Amino acid sequence: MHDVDDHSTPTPLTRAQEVLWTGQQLAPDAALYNMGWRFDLLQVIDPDRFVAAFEAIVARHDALRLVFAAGPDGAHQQAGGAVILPEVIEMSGSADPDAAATAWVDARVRQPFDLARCAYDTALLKLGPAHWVWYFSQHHLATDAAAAALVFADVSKAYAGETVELAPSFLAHARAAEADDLTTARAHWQGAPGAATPTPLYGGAAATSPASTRVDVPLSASVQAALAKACADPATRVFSPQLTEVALLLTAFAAFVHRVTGDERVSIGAPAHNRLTPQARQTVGLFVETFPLDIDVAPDDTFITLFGKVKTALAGYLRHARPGAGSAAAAKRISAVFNYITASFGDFAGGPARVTWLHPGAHDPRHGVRLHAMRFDGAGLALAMDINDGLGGKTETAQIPQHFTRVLETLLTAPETRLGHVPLCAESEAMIAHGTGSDEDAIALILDRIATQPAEAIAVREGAMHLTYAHMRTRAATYNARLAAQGVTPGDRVLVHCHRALDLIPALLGILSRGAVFVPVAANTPEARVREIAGLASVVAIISDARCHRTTEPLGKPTLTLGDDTPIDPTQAAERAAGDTAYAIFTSGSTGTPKGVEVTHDGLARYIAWAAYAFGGTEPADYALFSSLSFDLTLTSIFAPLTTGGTVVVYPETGASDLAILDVFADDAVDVVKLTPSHLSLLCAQGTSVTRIRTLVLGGENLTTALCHQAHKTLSPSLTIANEYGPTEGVVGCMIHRFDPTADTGISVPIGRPADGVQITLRDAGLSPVPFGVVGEICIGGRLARGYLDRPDLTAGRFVDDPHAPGRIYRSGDLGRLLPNGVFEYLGRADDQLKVGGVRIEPAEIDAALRQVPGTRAVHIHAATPKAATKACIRCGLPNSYPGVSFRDDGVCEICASYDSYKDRAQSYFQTPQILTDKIEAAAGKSTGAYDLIMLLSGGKDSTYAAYRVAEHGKRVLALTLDNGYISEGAMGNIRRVADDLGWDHRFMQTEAMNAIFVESLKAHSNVCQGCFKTIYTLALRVARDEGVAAIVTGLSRGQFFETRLTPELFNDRDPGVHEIEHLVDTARRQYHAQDDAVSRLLCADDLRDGAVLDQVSFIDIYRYIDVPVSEIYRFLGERARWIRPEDTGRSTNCLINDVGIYVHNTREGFHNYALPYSWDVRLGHKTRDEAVDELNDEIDVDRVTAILGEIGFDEAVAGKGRLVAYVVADDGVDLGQLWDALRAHVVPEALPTDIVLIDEIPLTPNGKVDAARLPSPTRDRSEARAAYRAATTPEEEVLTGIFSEVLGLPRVGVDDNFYDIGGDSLAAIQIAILANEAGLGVPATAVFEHPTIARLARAASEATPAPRTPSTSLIDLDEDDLAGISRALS
Amino acid sequence: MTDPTTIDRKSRIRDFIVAKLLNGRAVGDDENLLLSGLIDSLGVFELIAFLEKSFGLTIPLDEVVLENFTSIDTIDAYVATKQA
Repeated sequence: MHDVDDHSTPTPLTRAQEVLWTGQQLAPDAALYNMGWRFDLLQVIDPDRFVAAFEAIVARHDALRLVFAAGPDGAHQQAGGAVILPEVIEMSGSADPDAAATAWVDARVRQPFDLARCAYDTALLKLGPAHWVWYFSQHHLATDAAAAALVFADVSKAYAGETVELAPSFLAHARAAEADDLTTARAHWQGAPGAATPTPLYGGAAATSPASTRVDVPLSASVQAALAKACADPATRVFSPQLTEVALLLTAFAAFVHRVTGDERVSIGAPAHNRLTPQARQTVGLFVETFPLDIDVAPDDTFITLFGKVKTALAGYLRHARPGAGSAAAAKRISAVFNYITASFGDFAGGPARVTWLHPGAHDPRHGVRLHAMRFDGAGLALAMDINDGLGGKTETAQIPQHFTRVLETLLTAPETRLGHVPLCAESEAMIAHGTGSDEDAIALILDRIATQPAEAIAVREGAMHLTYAHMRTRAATYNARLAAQGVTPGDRVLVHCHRALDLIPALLGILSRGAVFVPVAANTPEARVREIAGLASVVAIISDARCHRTTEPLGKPTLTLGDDTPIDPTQAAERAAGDTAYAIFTSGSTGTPKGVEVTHDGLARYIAWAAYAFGGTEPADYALFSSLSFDLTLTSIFAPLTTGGTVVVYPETGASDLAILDVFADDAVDVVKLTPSHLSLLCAQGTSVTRIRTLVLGGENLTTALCHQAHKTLSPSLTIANEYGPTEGVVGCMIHRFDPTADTGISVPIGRPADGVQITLRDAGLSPVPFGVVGEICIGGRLARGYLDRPDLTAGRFVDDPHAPGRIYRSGDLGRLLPNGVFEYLGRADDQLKVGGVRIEPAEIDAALRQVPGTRAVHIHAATPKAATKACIRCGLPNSYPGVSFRDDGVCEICASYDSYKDRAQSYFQTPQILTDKIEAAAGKSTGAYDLIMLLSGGKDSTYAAYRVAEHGKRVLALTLDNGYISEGAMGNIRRVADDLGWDHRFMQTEAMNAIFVESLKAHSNVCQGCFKTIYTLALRVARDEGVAAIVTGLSRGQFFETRLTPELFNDRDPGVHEIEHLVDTARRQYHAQDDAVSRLLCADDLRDGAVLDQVSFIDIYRYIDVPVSEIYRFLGERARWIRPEDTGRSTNCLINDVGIYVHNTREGFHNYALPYSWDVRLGHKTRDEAVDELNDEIDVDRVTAILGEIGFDEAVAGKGRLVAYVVADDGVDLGQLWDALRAHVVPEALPTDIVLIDEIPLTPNGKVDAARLPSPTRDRSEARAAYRAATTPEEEVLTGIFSEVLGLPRVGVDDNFYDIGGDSLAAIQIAILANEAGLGVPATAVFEHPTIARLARAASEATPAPRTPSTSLIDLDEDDLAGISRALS
Repeated sequence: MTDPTTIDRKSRIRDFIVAKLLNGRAVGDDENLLLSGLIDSLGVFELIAFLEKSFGLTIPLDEVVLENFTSIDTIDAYVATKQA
């Protein structure tokens, strides 16, 4: 059947082969696509006859002789490979022939193929007279399971002496492939809504090594029975019994992948056999092609609801799984594979045989797990998994098959179970992580421990003052006596509201001695909150200081003054039980109402015993007391030193914004400092190096590795950095990790392992422990707070009985993950999780950054889907899917309405043809080379007509066209003819980076035009500069002027005048070239960044000076010019790639990228409304778009990018610019929301949740107008201009330039603040984040009341919010 | 039934199955296409695409059941009900 002449002809690879070829190129030495088989022939074999049979079969299948090579047009294949005959290997003499054979085949199947020589391998092993093993392996490029079965059958027949028919040619198939119309199928796979990047299974870093292990997935008799029952159940029957089995297994696998990734959209790759005809079924070769099944999975799905979704996904899959329809984007979103293999091998030449599919020890590293469901020879179902070795250690990965079977079994036997509640681990107890040490002896109460410290050692020090332990104990006893005198009895609560001071320590001990409960509230707490807490805690007495009396006096409670020296007889400490409450700390609840966390003496003592040893060791260690008294982090610095004979060194508040941490480091007089990451950021920015301070304990916020590295660099290379995790409810700290600069490579520092006496588990929605790598809620057992003060309801919700083990656990609401090395990782608050495209993103960053903007009252981050257009403007045809434009009641859009009011004022921008002549003459006079002018000639009607008008001036013109690789033939012809007609020199500009530029432009702007424009301007400016041409003429249309320059905002109640507009245009152009974006980097455009070239070369936009109706342009071109309207592109372009931009823009942004330009064409009379609407509705050839996306190497799913909208409720006067500034300051670009919408209130459902349906559509304004250059006018501005220039290394900075747009980053912001303070401008360190232009910063500086300063503390002025901001900005 | 549209419809279905799915193998109108393994799930969906295009139908997933696609006769009867 096949034509022998074909053999020598190189044949392109099929789509399926290309995918494998590419994968193999990425891992050239890995055997990841080796399809190896072990056939145990349990009979007497004649080796010579066997070899002859094999040789005969090789001749029959061209796929067995395929060789592959890379070529200029991609890889190709031909049938010229070497014929390898099976070597006969004697193993029967071995002690264990079977084991020897196993070792041999396992090693052999891991050897990569030399694809240029031969793509198969074979051998015949003799294990015994009647037991032979035929080893046969092929590269997947030339085979699949069905093909292997064909080869087996043919060799069997030939060996038996039967006639073997000639087989169909694979190469003929390869050449005929893709003859079908694949438009619909490709659109399905390309357009299927895929996640941007799926979360790797078990949280593994995207695996880099293909090494993998195959393990059997044992199916218990009960699971098999349940599966058989479900297959027979009419309720779950799908078409055929086989498809039913596939659907059932897929449902379980989708649920499994969902559970071990957390993704709510999973894309499971499933190979389709693609042997659709009997002929294909007889052909050896690769037919299988893998397509993704995109399935939305929610934690609340049950087996039943998920099964419905799987059925729908399967139908879409079966409909569109056409050979050649796959794409790179479709392959990229696959994170796991489900492979259902049926192949019949049968007996061998009438004798018994057994088949084993060998694993080559590697598979595509993108697929964490591949599940194979195999039915060979009609045998029962067998499951196996290939598991990437990078997912975890051997012990961990060995559990993975059981996780899947647990899901399968639960779904089949308890189909009502919600997926979030399906237990993954068989042994819950085994998943509990215990602190290693015992804290039994810590039961000794804290006061008893303090009592044993040496009397003369220094317990507390503040500046020159100090208290010995003996002094401290005596003073504590006097506080006890004073409290008793005020009627305080054991169990009463005492408010401590004062500044940090030497005497605070004995005061706290005095309260504990009294058997009372201290309720600490920092001095800088707002009065209302102090009152609220005093009320909630029903305090009976207060300890305060003179400065805080103003707040505490109105509370009307007996009050002791700190430092009171009135003589009083000390009182003996009261009896205390371990279970009595020691303190209550108030935290802000999610509702904003403070809630008090009650901690017992036992809890405090056990925490301190652990912490003191963990941070300070056994020697006495000195700690700095500098942090807020309201914060339980501070308790460590008070009690840990006192239980080891160390000293509490007190650093008092330094003003309204408490910067005592700077004093601690300036002093460098303690051993241990416990602080927040924000504190640490600040210290690193200050850069004070230390020698004595040796241990930093970080708590209260997420800690990044970057910050730790920075601390080692700037503070001290020998610092021990301990990351402590723990909610107040878990008594200050319950987990710890010591930062290891080499081992800790993630973004965040892990939270490590449990503290002594603490048990940590990660739990799913059903409170079942989850295994390694799976995200779960951090639940704490062991040492816990008693609960919430007087709030049994809240306590019952969070402190619950562990359903899987004896005892109580606290549900932290924090998410975590257990890494394979046994340490835990912190992943943020469960409440703040948000998914875009089904994949988790971190909106907390966006939220926090927005909340820092003064006047922001509420923020909600929402993942939005674009809304389809429902109407279009009755005048211009702009559809209402265009974001941010409202429509009047009469159906006219806002832009048309406002254009009416300002079009007369806008006319001043347009000038006379005489001015054009003047400009051209001036440019010609300035030009120094062979040309007077450069004309940008796109070949379209506007630029062609413009060219003829330029030609009237009789200058020496060089016409330039960007050849982006997709200019239509028709347009090319026009360009050549026109240049020829005008007698101009013409050049095509090119760049090797063009395709990469398209890709970046599509990713950043969802269109191709932005990338092209930047390329044209960049390349043309270089030509002009290098050849001494003074002006570049463009054919920008009047519509484009209005769209980009003469915008409604500019004319809002004012008349900017021609000079202001020109100035704006010039500034915008300079910033355009100064911008360091992906495209300019691809063009290496550093040479243009300083804008000097724009002083030499000017732009002349010809349609500013001539006004021509479009009909006149067509008439002119038709009659005079040799211009023919291109017919090989869409209607409005010369460019074949334009449709790609339109398609991507439509899909990602929900509207046509020409919607606004066309509306301007209509407004200006260059198009009718009907023409515009018609063009916007033009069908896009998705097949061609898909092909081009492949050509340029676009590697994202088109629909993959979600839209993230930030809704903000803010006071009047807060504008979008400020909000964007805050976001750019604190959030990495990838995590920026697509839009910010200012709204009056966040709509809620009756249940009190955000009502997404009532959130308004996003407005779209990410690029607020860029400012014109404006020089400094005030002394403050001048000083700041100098500082900005120095820090940012820029020769010129305008006072309205945005700090971030001119290359500023967070560190630069802090540097600027420090220099500004040195220069006498009192601005806080975060001022640059809030006021990112010189003008605004100068205003803020002059408005700020200069605070009294001392050199060590007032370099910069920060408060808690600033600290948090800096921390985020630096992280 | 001698209605010419019926004959036309059935022969078009048969022609498609024989030419595209069976590579020319003759098949009886009442022959079981599915259980015999002549056509599998992928083939059925190719057939569905053909039916939808040729007869202007939309075939919902819940009608893709064994009963409707067993043989050329049942397929033809199913299409007839969809057209009615």
